[in-house]
Amino acid sequence: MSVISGIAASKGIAKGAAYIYHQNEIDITEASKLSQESELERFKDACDKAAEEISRLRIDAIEAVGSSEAQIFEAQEMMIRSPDFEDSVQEWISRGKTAEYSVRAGSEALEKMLYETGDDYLMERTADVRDISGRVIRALLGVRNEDLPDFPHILIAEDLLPSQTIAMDKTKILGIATSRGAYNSHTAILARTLGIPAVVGCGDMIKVIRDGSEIIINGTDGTVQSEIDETAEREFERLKREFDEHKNSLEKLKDMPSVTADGSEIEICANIGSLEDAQAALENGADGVGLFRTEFLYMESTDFPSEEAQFEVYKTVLEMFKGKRVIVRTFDIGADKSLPYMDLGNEENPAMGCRAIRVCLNNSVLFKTQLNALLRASKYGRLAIMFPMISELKELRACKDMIRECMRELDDRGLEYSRDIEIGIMVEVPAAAVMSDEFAREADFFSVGTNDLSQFTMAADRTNEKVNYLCDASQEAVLRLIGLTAKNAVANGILCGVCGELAGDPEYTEKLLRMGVRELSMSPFSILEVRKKVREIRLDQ
Amino acid sequence: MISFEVNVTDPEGLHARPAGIIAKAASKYKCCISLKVYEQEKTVDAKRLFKIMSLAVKCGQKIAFDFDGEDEMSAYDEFIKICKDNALGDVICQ
Repeated sequence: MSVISGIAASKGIAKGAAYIYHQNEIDITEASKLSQESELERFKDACDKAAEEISRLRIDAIEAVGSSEAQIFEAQEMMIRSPDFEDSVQEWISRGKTAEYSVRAGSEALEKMLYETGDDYLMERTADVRDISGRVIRALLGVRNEDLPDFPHILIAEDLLPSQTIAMDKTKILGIATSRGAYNSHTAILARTLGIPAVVGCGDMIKVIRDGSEIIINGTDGTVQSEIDETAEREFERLKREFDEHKNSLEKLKDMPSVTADGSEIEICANIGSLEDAQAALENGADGVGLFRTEFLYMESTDFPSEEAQFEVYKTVLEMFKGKRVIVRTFDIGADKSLPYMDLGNEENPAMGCRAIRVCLNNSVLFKTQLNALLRASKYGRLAIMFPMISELKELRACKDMIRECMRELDDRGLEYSRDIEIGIMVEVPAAAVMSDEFAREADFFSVGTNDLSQFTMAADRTNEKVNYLCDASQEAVLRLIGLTAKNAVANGILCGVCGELAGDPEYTEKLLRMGVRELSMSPFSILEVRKKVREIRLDQ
Repeated sequence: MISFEVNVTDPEGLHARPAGIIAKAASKYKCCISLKVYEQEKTVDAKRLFKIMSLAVKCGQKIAFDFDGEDEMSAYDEFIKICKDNALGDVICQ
């Protein structure tokens, strides 16, 4: 029996045939036996095929995830149709090389050209050049990489990219194991969305798995077993039964209200950062959205997303939640989450630098584009707007002024919006928690962001491995700040929620509710576990 | 031959999206269309996407489009429209 361990990325257990997904291991012959004309013709045919595929992917992407991911494919279509792509490949064909060799060599030259500009944005586009050259090479050699087998299988890969997974038929995947990747890489998120077990970051050990062999993947403890004996088989049956029972018991809670055993109503909401997450939130019975991170609209785009593009996304999410509250956090972008098309400069300490609301208040055009899109979407559901990184009252007031200004502009443009939008703040700077009595008189709700609040309270950078042991929301100092915030919210009759990792941990549910927290927002996959917990708690005892 | 200049004010410069729009539009015409960046003293064929991208034209730089050939007038008109519609910058016609 051979056990490989990696990062437990998506819970569950499955047994099935391994399917090894080959990515870059294509043998390429260098010298051509054909005439240059024939090689050129092969190249052009393959380009047509590849361009058709990309165009299909673009249409699929619009339907599946909205226009942001589609822009990647739009750029790729332009690249593949560009005469300089053809020229650089032709140069190698004219030296007697095969079309596939020439595509590889020609695109390497283009990658080099982009890389040498030293421009971050252009350097990232080299990935697109590799993506298109890989697609043309596969078309030339008849390797159909994107197609997965039509029998149930456990997918084994180095790592999976969005351009690969979007075209996959995911219904036959029982589980995913990858040699690379981390808990929050694309593969891991995809697996959690699909609700299939996944183990990522297994390293080179994954190579011992033979194609077609029967394996067991355990996404709960992060192991993959490649040689299965009777003991392993029995253990698998037991764990599978256990997991299924647990899953079924949670499944029943999907449509049950989030009420404590003594009748206090709690909102158990989801943190979402994409339309896929919104879908997962609904499938897990979320009472609403407690934190809609809007950064993805900016990060996955090649330019500032327009009011229209943003409006479409917000409207879609509000309609999906049919009147349940959706708290949208305005974008939190700064030197730590920079955009290729926006120069914010380098900062010594970006987490405490010019980010989030500080960027917004300095850049009213950008901020108003988002606010206008939100206001316009507000009539399609129950919208709440939340501002991140608020540290003084002046900022909240400036934000509210900005909203009023946007409302006047929309009135002038003759566009409709809802008049009952709740406006709240994210409590993640200790200053806001300390001053929460004053904030509670001017905000409609609070949502405590425990991740940033802990790093700022403990003065420990959460990305620094030497000190991030201090960044723990269960530290008494952090809990007291949450308690103070909740107490001031209750005293002023406003809602206090918690988003961030602490909210999704059932061990802290009771503690938070006793403080007066009435809304918990978490990863869609923690909702049912927390609902189970909430329904067992009695606050009157 | 006719030409016009643009003071690029698009914050993202001539990155992928505008570069793609330019290359795509240029490929429709028979005339030679070239793109010059004053600061780098470089001129490239505007039909070539990668060449345009590799100029890495930034906001604040001055560029010029030259049109030379039988359909230069219509290409000139369309390019002025493209620069205006996509808010690439201030167009200066000679």
